[in-house]
Amino acid sequence: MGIEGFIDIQLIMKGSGINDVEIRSSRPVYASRVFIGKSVNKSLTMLPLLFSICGVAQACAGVRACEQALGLKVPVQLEQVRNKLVNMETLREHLWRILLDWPILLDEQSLNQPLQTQEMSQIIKHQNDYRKLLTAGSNPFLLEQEIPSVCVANCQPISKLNQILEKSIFALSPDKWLKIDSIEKLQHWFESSETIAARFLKKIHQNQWQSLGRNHIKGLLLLETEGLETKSLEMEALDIDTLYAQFENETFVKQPLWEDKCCETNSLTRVDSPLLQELHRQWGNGLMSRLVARLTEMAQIICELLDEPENPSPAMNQNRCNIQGNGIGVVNAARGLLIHHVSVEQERIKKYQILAPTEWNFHPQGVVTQSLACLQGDSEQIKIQADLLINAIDPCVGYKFLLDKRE
Amino acid sequence: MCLALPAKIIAIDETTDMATVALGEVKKEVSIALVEDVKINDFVLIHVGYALNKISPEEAERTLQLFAEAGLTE
Repeated sequence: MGIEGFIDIQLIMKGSGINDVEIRSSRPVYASRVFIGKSVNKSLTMLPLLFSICGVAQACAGVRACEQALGLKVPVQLEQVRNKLVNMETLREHLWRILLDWPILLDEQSLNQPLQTQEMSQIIKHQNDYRKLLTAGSNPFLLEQEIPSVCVANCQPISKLNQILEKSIFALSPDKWLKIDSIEKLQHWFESSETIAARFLKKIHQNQWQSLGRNHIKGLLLLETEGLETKSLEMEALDIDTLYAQFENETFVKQPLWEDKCCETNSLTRVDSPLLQELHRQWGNGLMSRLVARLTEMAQIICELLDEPENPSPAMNQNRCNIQGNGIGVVNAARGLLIHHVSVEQERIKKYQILAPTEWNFHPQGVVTQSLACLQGDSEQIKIQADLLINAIDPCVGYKFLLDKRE
Repeated sequence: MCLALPAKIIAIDETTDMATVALGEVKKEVSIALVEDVKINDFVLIHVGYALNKISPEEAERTLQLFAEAGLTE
């Protein structure tokens, strides 16, 4: 069952640490070529069948790319519905990793596993209920769809999710957790709380792993939708014209570089707060900043879904292209920036490329490689730290380590 | 890449919420704790050891056809 591909990570040890890291990926990055020659509508219907992990983000990037290629105008309200559904999926994915993966990484898997899977099952149900409420049975990821205007702020699925976050993650309401604005207050929080998230951060603190994996790989931002000036990490801005030029190179989706440099994309590169700024100053893009960025993103998303702000984040389907019949769809998926590029000729797909966040993060010289290259310790300690880092950088992908000891 | 595999449930252990699934000749143990009301002969999408959701036999067939067309099952 290797259809989804795999990442092999060879850790070459010398003395008391890592001497070199080699990453090989067998992920089927060209699978989207199956849409070539098919109609746009058929391709958009098939897309979530093929790419069903983060299927909402995939469907959203696909329809945005096709709409641009066809020159279709999209109602703002429809884009807002799409953004809410993508945010909900991001929340679910983060909860999945925290409730089901973090206990394993804490070595306490058997303690509450039935409870955590039961909770995760409820979360998936709330996500499905939310989508039904929001779309009333329509599919917002097909062309020219009309979505009824429904106010779902504070609806039952969102309230229930908020309760789960309060009980199992933050030990206080997410909006109050967002008021934690210093390392000192964060430490007080994780030392006085008993949730899985608090215990996890406490373990990182006790082992002094806060700066684990710190490196200088830059984060990716989409220039037209986000502000560089607010970020306290070093960022690289993607501009759409250069992005189109990059897609001319077929290997761009396999091992992407931006201005000949590796970049990373995930919660850390798109979330900001006073607490994160202090963490970046203290420990750079090390492990603690990554974990807190994910928690911050979850709290921000649930607050936004609860309140439905009057001026929501700008829609992301504005990436104009001057090349007729071409479109790029960008989505902030749970794992990072997901980019679809499509060329359409006579309403049929001529070219379909997908650049997933994993290809940036697991580039052979990328952020995972650089993070793992810093590790010190015996092989058992290195494996524990490497699992923590990979889970924090890009927790979806299947991978295996090969420890190669050389004297 | 971001793919979940459709597989058929061929055995269920209710005490552990685990199931044996089959994809062609390959069999695998997965958790069914996240999916409600799963029965033998149902099709589910599986990813990193979990059944994610149930799908109809028609959807499973369409998805597998798509995987084959994309050259993923060779």
